[in-house]
Amino acid sequence: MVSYYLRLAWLSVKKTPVLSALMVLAIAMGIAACLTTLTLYQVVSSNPLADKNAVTFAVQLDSWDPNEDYWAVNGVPEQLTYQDAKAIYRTGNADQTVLTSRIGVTVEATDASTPPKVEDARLATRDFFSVFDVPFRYGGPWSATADAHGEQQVVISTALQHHFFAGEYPVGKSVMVEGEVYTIVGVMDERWTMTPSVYDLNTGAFKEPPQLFLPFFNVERRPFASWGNVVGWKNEDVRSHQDFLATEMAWVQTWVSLNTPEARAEFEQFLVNYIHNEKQKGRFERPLKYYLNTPEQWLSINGVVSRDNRILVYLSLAFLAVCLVNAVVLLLAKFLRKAPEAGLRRALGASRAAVFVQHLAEAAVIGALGSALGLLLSWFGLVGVRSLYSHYQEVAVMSGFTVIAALVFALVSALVSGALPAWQVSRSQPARYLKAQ
Amino acid sequence: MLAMQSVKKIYRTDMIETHALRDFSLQVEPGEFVAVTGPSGSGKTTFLSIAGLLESFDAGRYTLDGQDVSALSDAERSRLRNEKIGFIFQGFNLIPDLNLFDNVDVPLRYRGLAARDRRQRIERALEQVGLASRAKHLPSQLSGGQQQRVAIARALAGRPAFLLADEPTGNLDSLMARQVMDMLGEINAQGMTIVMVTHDPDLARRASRNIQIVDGQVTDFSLYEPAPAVQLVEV
Repeated sequence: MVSYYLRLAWLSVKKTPVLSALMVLAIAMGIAACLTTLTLYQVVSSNPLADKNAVTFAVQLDSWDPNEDYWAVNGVPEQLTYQDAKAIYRTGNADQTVLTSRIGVTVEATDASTPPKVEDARLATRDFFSVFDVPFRYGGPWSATADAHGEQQVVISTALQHHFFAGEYPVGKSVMVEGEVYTIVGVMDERWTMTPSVYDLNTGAFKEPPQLFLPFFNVERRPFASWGNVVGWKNEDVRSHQDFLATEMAWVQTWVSLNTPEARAEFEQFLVNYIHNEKQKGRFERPLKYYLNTPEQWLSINGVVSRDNRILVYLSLAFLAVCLVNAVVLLLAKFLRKAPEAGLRRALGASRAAVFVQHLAEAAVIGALGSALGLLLSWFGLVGVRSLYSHYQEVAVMSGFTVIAALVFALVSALVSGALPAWQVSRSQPARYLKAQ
Repeated sequence: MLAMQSVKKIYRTDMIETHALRDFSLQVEPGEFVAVTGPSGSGKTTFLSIAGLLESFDAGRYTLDGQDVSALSDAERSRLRNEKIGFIFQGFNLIPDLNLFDNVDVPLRYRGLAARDRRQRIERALEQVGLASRAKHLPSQLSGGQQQRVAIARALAGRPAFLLADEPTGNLDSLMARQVMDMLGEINAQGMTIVMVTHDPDLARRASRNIQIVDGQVTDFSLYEPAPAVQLVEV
């Protein structure tokens, strides 16, 4: 009977093309608006480290101005000073420690055979790759020794591998970074696009992944051009790079992995002791305060999902509701016009349930057409978002989730909007129409 | 076959109460061809609707093919209607978007018959009314008489216990009307029970028994003399 109902539905759709088109359009518009905003919302509100949410923490220490609160997020700087970050790395007891900072570097081939490039890069400790799930195409992260000593080793992107080595195996070869020779130890897989970029939300949550990683402690040897935020509150005399490293400037993003509650308790005790020690040296003049934020908390306090996003979702749902009400009215008009036929079918043996299901099938066909059109309109909607907001380039993309959601959403919406008209027509008295036909 | 005892049907609005059938009793035996006549508003159509299980009634008892229908659910009434009753309407009531084959198929679909069985029944029914070659035509491509023959084929395809015909020739010219009546006569001659509502005394004469309804009650069982049997004419 299902195929019979679908055939009848298709015949009915063809019989009233304008009315059917209006219903399809109404459903499609509502679904497109909803899906476009939901797609954005789903991506921006997702936690890419959900599986590690209980064991991964962004560290905040309140070393800020004793006379004035920090102006952003939760009142504590998002980044640590170099000396505090280094202390956590060198003497802290976390299971894994990530120190990282965004920089910009010039990269060139050692033989000058390829034009140099200015690239987005990161200084990072080797735990970055495991904590943030960076997959490798070739090689892997640098060694613990290279990490601790800031050796001149580098992990590059697949794009750079193609640029400098024409896709050949590059591990063990070298590139020039800021005029110095770095040995390539690994090539990142191009699939790694952590969205939102929870590891660094200071310069936007939706950005391209960095093209190369350098061991963090290279920064002890020489300065790099920061492409991130450097914040400070103290008027300090900075004459050299070493002076800069010793300042109260906060520029190092710090993450730790604490795999058990005991590990977390021990690490917190370490932080308390450290802050007390620093207080004795005249630092940390504010009341003792630190935060260990889970990735979910980190995304929240950094406002990755803005209030505007949520309002937009509510508005799009309201718009969908309006579209569905329109579809209900149009379906009702159409079905009531078909009441004589329903009456005839009842006379010929169709039960109310059969008439109901037949008309619901028609609503489903309209819903399926609406979903196809809605999907197309959603795609255009996302293209529009990408063209209007460059920082949504990586976000506003149609995913498998979107496609399945569109189909299910449209079908459910159509069935919901078709249920009342179908029920109405199934309740019609056949005797009333048979004489009149 | 069909037995109504003291059936009562009242239509109510806020202001008016209309007694469409009052103490209505009728028995139709298998193989009979009964014509039901009466003036407009006498209750003919109400009788037909109740007999066809299209409407409920307020009091009395109605037994169809030995089954008391008073307490049946909607689904059970629908199933009984589908299996036991064939309808022929004044306005033909074909579905305009479906071809003849699919129109005849409608009641069979609700019976859940296998596709092969349905096809055989449809082809046989269309052959019976002389329209097998036009199975893929739409109703709009047929004359009124042909459309009524399709309606008869639809009623016959389900092999019902009896046919209910409501003014089956009301929309036809006299020649077409005669052809349809001839066809009904032949179907009756093959053993099918037919109950026909009409206001035309000439048509009523062709039935084996006549009853007249006035003010919702049966007033006369033999108003008209039965007409002589007529041979079915090939169209």
